[in-house]
Amino acid sequence: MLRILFSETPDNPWMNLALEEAFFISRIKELSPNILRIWRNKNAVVIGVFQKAEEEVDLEYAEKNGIAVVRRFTSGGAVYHDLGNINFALSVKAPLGKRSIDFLYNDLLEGVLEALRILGFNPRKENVNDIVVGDRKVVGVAGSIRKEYVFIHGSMLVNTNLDVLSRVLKISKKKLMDKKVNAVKYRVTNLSQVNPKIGVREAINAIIKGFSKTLEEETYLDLPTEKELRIAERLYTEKYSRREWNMTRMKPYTIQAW
Amino acid sequence: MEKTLVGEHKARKGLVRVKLVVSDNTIVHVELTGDFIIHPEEALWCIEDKMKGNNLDEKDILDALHKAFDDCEAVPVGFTYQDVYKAIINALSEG
Repeated sequence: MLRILFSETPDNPWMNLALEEAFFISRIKELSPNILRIWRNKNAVVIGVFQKAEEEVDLEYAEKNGIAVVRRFTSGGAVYHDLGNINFALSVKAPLGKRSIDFLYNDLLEGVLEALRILGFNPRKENVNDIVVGDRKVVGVAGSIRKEYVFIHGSMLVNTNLDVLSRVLKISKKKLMDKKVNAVKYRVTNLSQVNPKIGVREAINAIIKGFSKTLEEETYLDLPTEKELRIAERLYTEKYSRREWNMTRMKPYTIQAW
Repeated sequence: MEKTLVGEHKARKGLVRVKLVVSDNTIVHVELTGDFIIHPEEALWCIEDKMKGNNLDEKDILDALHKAFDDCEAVPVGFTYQDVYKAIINALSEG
């Protein structure tokens, strides 16, 4: 059974990211079963663990517009989150005999593709971890692996303010040359722009169904346990609420420390 | 005298940015940033540590990177140690 958590702190993106890692740690320690978490941020940029905020974010624009900057524990690129963007996170154990890396980038990504097919789109995977509809990216994912335990999280653009997204995220000239585009906003789109009937509710239902089908697990709704919340609170205090973690490129804590 | 050099290279998946501090034909400090993917994440800091003290000969840098990726058990996705090498060479040539 796949445990579904609607556990979010949209006004506190640092806690939202602490919860992401807490559920994965809890899964690794076998304190939790397989988890699919659905959550949102109100107004934040989330950068990859190898990124530096100053290189990826227009910090002046972010500050003026109340956009928080948070660093996650997975690699990959920066994303902008508002309430029109649905985040999903799976903390699962790879099946016996399956390489974790293949499970992450093939099997689990299939769950996202299936969600988009349920919504009536014809999606495809590009560049390892981008999900594209037409010629526009609609979902980006990142992941982490600890032995047979696999974590994948991603952002689905449903009705995000793409104007803010294009202003707050910086893009390097080398990337622009490579992709033959002249701004981030021309490479991404909202699902609601492709099909105005698609809203947040439809997208969430499709994500749950997509992963349920891919993992061949029935789903049930649940609440976080006290243990999971305690791990999240410690991560929040010692890591995600700290400026050094979010703004520099501080080395991640190792799982052993927990 | 120490000199700081920066360079970048666009891999198949991800942009690799490098900041190098060099002195007397030796790498004093290396910092890799970008949206590239490596598992496990901690391997990146291990690779950076192993590059310290290496000389600036291009072949030596390539060999040292190859060894560092192996020693740190780094699994890059959508790029290789050769993309990091190209970013370092770009930094050295622009310096």
